[in-house]
Amino acid sequence: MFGQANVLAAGQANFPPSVEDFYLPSILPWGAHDSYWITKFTLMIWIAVGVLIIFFLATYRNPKLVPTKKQWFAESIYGFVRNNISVDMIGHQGVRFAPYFTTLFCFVLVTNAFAIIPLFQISPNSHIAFPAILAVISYVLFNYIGIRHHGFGKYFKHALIPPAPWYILPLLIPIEAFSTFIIRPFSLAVRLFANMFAGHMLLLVFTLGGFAMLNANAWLAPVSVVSWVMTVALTLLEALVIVLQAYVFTVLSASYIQGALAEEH
Amino acid sequence: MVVRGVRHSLVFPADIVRPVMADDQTPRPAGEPDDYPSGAGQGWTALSYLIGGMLVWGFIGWLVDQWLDTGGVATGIGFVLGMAGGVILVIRRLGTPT
Repeated sequence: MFGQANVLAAGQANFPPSVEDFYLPSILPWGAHDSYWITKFTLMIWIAVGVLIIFFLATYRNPKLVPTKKQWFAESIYGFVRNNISVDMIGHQGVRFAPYFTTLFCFVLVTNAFAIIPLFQISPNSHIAFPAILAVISYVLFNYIGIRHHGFGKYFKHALIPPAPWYILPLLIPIEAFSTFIIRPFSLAVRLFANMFAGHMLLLVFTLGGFAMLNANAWLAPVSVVSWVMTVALTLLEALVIVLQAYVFTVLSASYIQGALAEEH
Repeated sequence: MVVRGVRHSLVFPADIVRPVMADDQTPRPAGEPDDYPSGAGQGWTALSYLIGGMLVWGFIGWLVDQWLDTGGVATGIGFVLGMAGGVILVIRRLGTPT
């Protein structure tokens, strides 16, 4: 994090970047390479949680019928998730889940946004562990909701047995089981992780590539400017991906809960 | 619909949400969820059926291959079966809203 600029200027940064670049030195103990208890990622998660708690507490403390600007902002976020995700996907019952979806959306959005915020410049979600835990939460939630709504037997019967003639059921049931109980959480986690990982990797390639060309020889040096212009463009693309992935993660969680609540037809 | 003298389409969603955030929650009628998923969810469901079908039956075919030493024939049959199964599931689950 610190001293990066020196490393780059001295031409010591490795090009091409590797997975190693996603493992940052520990903060406590400072600079250790074999300790992962408190790293920049830990710090970023704390900051994200703190920022969200303080933001919603502060905007929500004294709600007015005619809102202040802060309250209007918080309400817009909540209103967006409530109306455009919960109610749109699930229906009236969706309002119950709006607080969870809002928390999920905001948390993913903020942790994703670290990818392009100066000095942070990497998202915790570029490590599979963070999206995996978020996916597990949604996975447990939609199964729990389904079991509570339908009862254990009926839920799994509904989830596993599609409306089809009996003689093709043996073909279909394994596919249903696989796609509902394995692909869903897996794709939820991997989609977010891969997007953030690839985004960070792209920014690294174009930033470090610029320095690599600058240090290579006099002919390549001017081309490094092109590489950095690409970095700026990709940062804008990354901003889009950040919002989109937070939205997609929430919408898919909502869609799974909708599926768990749906009546047989 | 008219909210506070303004046409509904001109009211920002937050203005309708406000009573909820101000802890003025009146219980809503327990509506049933829509019967089949909308938009994005439907697309991802279809995709996961098609890919899942191939993976599951491809894997089962591969296991049969290992067992009977059929040199890849069973894997191929498994993939084709899985594709067919995936297509049937998409049609059955998503194609015929009742």
